[in-house]
Amino acid sequence: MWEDGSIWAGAREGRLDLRACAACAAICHPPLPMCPRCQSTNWAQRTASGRATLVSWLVSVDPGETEVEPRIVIVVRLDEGVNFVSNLVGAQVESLHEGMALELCFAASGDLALPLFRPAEGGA
Amino acid sequence: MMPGRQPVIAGIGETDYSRESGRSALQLAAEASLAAIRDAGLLTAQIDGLVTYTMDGNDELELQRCLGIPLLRWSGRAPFGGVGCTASVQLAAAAVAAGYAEAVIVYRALNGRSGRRYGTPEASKAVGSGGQLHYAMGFDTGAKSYAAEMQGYLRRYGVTSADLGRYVVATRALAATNPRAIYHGKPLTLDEHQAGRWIVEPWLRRHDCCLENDGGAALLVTSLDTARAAGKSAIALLGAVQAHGMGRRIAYDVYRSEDEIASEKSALVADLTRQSGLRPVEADVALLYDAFSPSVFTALEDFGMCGAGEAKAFIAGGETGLTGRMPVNPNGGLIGESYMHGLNNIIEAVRQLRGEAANQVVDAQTALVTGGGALMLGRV
Repeated sequence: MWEDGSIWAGAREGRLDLRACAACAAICHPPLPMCPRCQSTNWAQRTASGRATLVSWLVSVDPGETEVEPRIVIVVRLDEGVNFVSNLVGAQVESLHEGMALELCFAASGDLALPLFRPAEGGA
Repeated sequence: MMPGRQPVIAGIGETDYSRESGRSALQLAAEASLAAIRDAGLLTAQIDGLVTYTMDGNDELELQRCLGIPLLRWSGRAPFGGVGCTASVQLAAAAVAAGYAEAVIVYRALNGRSGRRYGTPEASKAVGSGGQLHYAMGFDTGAKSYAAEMQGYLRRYGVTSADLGRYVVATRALAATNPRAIYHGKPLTLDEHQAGRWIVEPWLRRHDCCLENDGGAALLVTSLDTARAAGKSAIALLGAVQAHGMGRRIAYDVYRSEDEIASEKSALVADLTRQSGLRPVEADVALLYDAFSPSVFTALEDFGMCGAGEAKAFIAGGETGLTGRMPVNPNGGLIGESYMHGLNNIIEAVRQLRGEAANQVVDAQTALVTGGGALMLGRV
């Protein structure tokens, strides 16, 4: 059970809304029901700046659907100080390096809007 | 610990390992458990505990009925998959030491190939290890999870696919001379490793990943007194540890700092050393959890067999071979023998200490086993 409703709701409106503790302001991602820092169960949201750096990457092929176009799965470090799993668009896997500057973008996928990342304007 | 309650491993049991068992996972669990009970020289009526992993699909009470166990006094499940292999032995040993149970079977059985193939997104979803965000992003198999967790190490020390391949070639050579192994008689060359398709580009090729196969494995943990009364040799459990930092996730462990991971591993080694009185490097043989080849490299370094970044040279120099400084996975491990979620590696450690292994390390007295947590085993 992931308490990730705010991420999907925010993405539909073009924001990455992270769960933040209403008592101590710590961001909790992946979301939990209780703040690991102060044990509050009162939550607010923090909209991410969209700036991030690349931590790790891989080419994802669904073993059952090899005809589907592979995508680049990434783990990024958000400027807010937490890691986030996403996909990278607008770059080739050969060009990636640790710490690469990325920026948030969105893409529709069925009923969902997905928070994705692309190389940052003017950054590398 | 109550007097006379020193927990020991008194029996081991396995089914054949195959890609098509032709029988249910419950039957595999029951066959392996019965083999372990008979190996220990006990009767099924003496068994009063059953322990497995949270993700094992075989119900304790169904297995109890199969085996004809009249009264079950202890049951428990250790977290998730491979982490559960050493932790499940710890749970069984704790029950024996406390007197909650006299003889506990630790079991793991699955049709990992002919049933639901273990490396698929469907298998990951079934155990709830990801979350919608991961699946929506295509981050949905154990191999992808592991590739994300491990690549910082590979980049930092310049560990190439060929470096990984040198370990795989070595372990497949050992599997090739182990009649129990799925890859018995089938060694692998480095060229073949390098020609293997990417499972997760650009990190893991086909042969870097463990087997998906069918089978069952079981251990019998009891007190030294009971093992001796049955007249069989027993293997001492010198140390049994778990260590989970606060940020740990059993899979998709990509959200925490390297500092926390390092402190978790330090705690694991410190606890094992304190309990057993042995540093891991003093073990005569090591069974290192090898769901994917890079985990052998990091385990060699985490447990002090070599320095940081030195594992690739240690392996390339043959130091993990049967006569090397630290023989590793003489059965061929999970990559070459069988994927019983690590339980087959514990069974191999017992065989090594009994002197009964297919690829025997000469006069092995102590064995390190890793798998999320860790065990130190020794001759009684």
